[in-house]
Amino acid sequence: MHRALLPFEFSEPASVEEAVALVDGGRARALAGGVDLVLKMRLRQETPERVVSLQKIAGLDHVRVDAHGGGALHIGALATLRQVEQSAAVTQGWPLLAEAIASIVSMQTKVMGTLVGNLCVGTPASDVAPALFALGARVKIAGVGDERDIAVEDFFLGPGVTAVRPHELVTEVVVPARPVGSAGRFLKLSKTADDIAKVNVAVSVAFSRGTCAHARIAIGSAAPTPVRAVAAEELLLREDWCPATAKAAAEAAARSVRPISDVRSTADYRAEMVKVLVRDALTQAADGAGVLDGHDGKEA
Amino acid sequence: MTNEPHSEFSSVGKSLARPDVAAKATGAARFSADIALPGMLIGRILTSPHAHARIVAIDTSRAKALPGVAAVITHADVPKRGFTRSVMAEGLPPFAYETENLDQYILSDKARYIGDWVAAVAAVDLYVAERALDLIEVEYEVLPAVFDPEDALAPGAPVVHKGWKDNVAGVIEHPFNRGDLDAALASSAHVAEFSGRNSRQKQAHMEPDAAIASWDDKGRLTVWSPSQNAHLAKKAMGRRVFDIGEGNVRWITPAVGGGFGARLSFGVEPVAAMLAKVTGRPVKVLVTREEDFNGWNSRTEQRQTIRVGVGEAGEITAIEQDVLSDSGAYFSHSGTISAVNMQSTLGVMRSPVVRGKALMVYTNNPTASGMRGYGNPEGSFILQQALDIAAEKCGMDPVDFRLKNARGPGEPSMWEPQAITTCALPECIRRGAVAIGWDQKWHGWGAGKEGRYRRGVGMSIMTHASGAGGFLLEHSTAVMKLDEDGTASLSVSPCEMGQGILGVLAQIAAEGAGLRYEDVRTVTGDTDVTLFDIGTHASRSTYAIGNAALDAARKVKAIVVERAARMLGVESEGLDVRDGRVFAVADSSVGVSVAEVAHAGIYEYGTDARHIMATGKHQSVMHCPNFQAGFAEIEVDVETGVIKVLKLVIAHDIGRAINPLTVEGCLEGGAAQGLGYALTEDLVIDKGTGKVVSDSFATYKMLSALDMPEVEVILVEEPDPTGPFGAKGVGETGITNVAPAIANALYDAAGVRVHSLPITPEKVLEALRAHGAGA
Repeated sequence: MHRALLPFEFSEPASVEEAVALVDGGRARALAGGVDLVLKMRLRQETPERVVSLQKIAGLDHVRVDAHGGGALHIGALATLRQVEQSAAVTQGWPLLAEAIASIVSMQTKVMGTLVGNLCVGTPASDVAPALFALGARVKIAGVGDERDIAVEDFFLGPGVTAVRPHELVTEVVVPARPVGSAGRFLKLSKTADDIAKVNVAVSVAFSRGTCAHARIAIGSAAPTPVRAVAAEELLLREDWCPATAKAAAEAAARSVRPISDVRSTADYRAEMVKVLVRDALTQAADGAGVLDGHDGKEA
Repeated sequence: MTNEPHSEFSSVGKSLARPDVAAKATGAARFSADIALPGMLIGRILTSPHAHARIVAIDTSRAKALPGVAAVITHADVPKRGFTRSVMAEGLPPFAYETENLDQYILSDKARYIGDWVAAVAAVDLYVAERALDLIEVEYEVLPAVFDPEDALAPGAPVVHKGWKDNVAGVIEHPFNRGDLDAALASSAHVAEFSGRNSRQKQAHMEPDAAIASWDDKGRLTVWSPSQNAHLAKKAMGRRVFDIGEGNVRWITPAVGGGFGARLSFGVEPVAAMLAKVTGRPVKVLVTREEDFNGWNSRTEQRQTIRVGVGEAGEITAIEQDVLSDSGAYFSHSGTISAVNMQSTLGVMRSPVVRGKALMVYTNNPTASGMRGYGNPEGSFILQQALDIAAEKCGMDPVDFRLKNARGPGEPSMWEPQAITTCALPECIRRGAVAIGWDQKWHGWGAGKEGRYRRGVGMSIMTHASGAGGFLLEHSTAVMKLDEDGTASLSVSPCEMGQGILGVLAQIAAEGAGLRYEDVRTVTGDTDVTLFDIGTHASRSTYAIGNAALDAARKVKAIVVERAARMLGVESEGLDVRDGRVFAVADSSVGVSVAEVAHAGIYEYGTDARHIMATGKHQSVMHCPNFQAGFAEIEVDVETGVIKVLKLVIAHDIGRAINPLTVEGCLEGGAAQGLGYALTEDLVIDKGTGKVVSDSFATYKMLSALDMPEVEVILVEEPDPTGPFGAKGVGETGITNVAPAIANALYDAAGVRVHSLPITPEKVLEALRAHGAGA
């Protein structure tokens, strides 16, 4: 264990093109807020020879709604978690995302750390990831001379492993406009208010005549990556909404996770809590989406 | 709390601002790691990656060859003198010190836990020092290791210490065992039993361990470090680690960022001293937080069973306590903490028959030590649940059961030869019960609560020492001197580690001498200046050092009065001193300022000059026990097992609150630490490797302000005739009642008990399932 970092080269490119030429994901690592990388360098879990700061690249710190692109939300690679959380566009248009970020209580983490950086850590415990899964977000990745665009659930490949290849950088996360009438809910269990999740869950639902017309369920900290509970979503779209449906969906969701035991919790507890949190989140989101306003599912 | 001063006092009883608070708040305070001496080197320690390994060879040649490296030392370079990390042990009477195991060396020739100290480097800066650590090549012969104290007792278990036949580090019979336990239990109407274990809570002082050592040209050693007991550390360094004598050690204690008992042990001071000796230059040794978590201080894990016998009328007939303590790799505080556990745990309830026994066992876990409460939070978690089980068997309200059976004035204190002088425990229990709403919220045993969210209330009581009298050497000497302007210096040797003791002592001295609080400076932190004191532990500083300060202050006042009388041409009998002025009680217009008296004493051109000063002393074989009742109201979610604490109440028998705000802060801080101990804080050690898994604040979870419930502190003031202005101790106490009160509230809410700390949602849910309740 060490107090000091090992020596490294420090680069501050002025453009994405220059940056992707430098970073290789191994010996040369990108640094946005540095929240994760610098700690890992001190612990020697990462020993890059070159650190490539993105801070001097213009045009990456935006949080904006693109009126021409169907009202999608664009979050640049240098936008901090705090910036996204406090954006009026986000709190009004994508409150689920703001709710997920609000569950990270460390102000230091949120003012230094970026939303894109949070994803690029590749941790299954990301609070941001389940919200973005539930909102159907996409990730833009720049490479040498090209750019690709993938669904956020294809971004996570394993613990600490993402779809970003050597000489690639995530430049932006794009969140599509929310389905009409949809409501979301983010729930998390953790040891203390400031701890990483034991389990977290984000759902987004919309109803039409007492049945889910839109349902996305995402779960964090319960598998090697954040996961979407597709079978549970399908069940919701199929069945009339009622408490039993929420419970059945939650049990289906629990079958889509593969939790482990670690310093924060046990595999058994996590599996059980997926059921509780998914059911609770669905029930609360359904209230928000107005399924019970004036009618219940069975009569509709 | 009322902030009104007691009318007869100027400083005592007021929530006055602490003298150190501005420097701490602005960052001006200088801690050990902030200090830089000319020519100073930086030292770092190489730790073992193996839990149990013989060091076959160490090659330091590459490290020594690195430019900027001044020295690399190994076990071959250190004195072959065993010592104990417990510096506090120097205060034990000789017969007791003999039972301490002197099993520690500056650097070890055999690694006994992951993190054990194998070699050390001194270099021009931190970067070079850490590069040098990387270049030290150690050849280990990995040995079988043992991580569970019960496994360590099994025949054939790996033996942690060479030359020992087994891992039994020590056995302690409670000194106040009495009566025929088996007969008493057999004839009791009911016997309640509870078994469980506490976690290895970390002191988690915000200031990481650090020490600077420097030898002068005459071979005298100066150490700068955050010690809680500098005078005893001076002795341990001068007599045990090295053989140079106490006079050749000067110990300076800069600002201290928290202690909680950790600084009653040696940290890195012996390594700093050794590196400084070898290099002939000052050396500052630093550690990382991860090393601290993998290291040499934590609460001692104790596995205990307590049985309580009860008669038909609900009277306790017998108590038995059995303690198994995991010392970890080295003995440190594990013996004394086991003894104090039994004294405090068995010392709160009246019982004609008592039997206590503790067994300390070596393992290849990190070295445990003493932490705030020092055995009391460990024992109370078990006893207070056993008491509730006993009350249930008798069909008694837990409040009534404790009121009936708790010791009171005139009865033996926790250290039994001594009698309790004052005891406000019944008042603490009654007022605490009202504050939590006990009569409205406790619905009897087996109230059968239903629904997802179930509320419950629970309670706990305790006694704690206000000083070490009876257990340890207990005396303190203070010096107070008046300067020409009527301000005073009070020289004392507590450890100001954030608790506010400097202000409290200044308030006592100001009141005693008749000075204004702001005119009393507390001088501390240097053993060349202060007189002997055993340091800050045993919740003693207000009581014991306060008594010494008050004695000095009253003597100063007497000298001032005598000289003022001569200046005024009146009899001294009719004079009093208050707020820096000497005046005639009969006619307050007759008087003179203390400044004039002090000035005239020094600038005296005849033959009567006197720099007014006095020494004051406290010595006692009594420890003036304080008492406390704690209550908790919780709500448990039976689907997630999550306990939400709605309110904590702590009613403390403070005798007199010298500074009410400081006392409340101390109890609230204790409550926060107690709540972490109850619910989240856990030093998790991998059972297969012995590696500490929770080795940072990211994985070892302490509570933040966001997690804290309402804490209501009630100060019950019944002045004790032996304390300064009636004050008793408080420092460690806020932590103790929280976990047992919550555990008892959990039983009230959901009918289950969890047998180990912390009480996590995972364990609650498991208990609920076993109980057939819950979702």
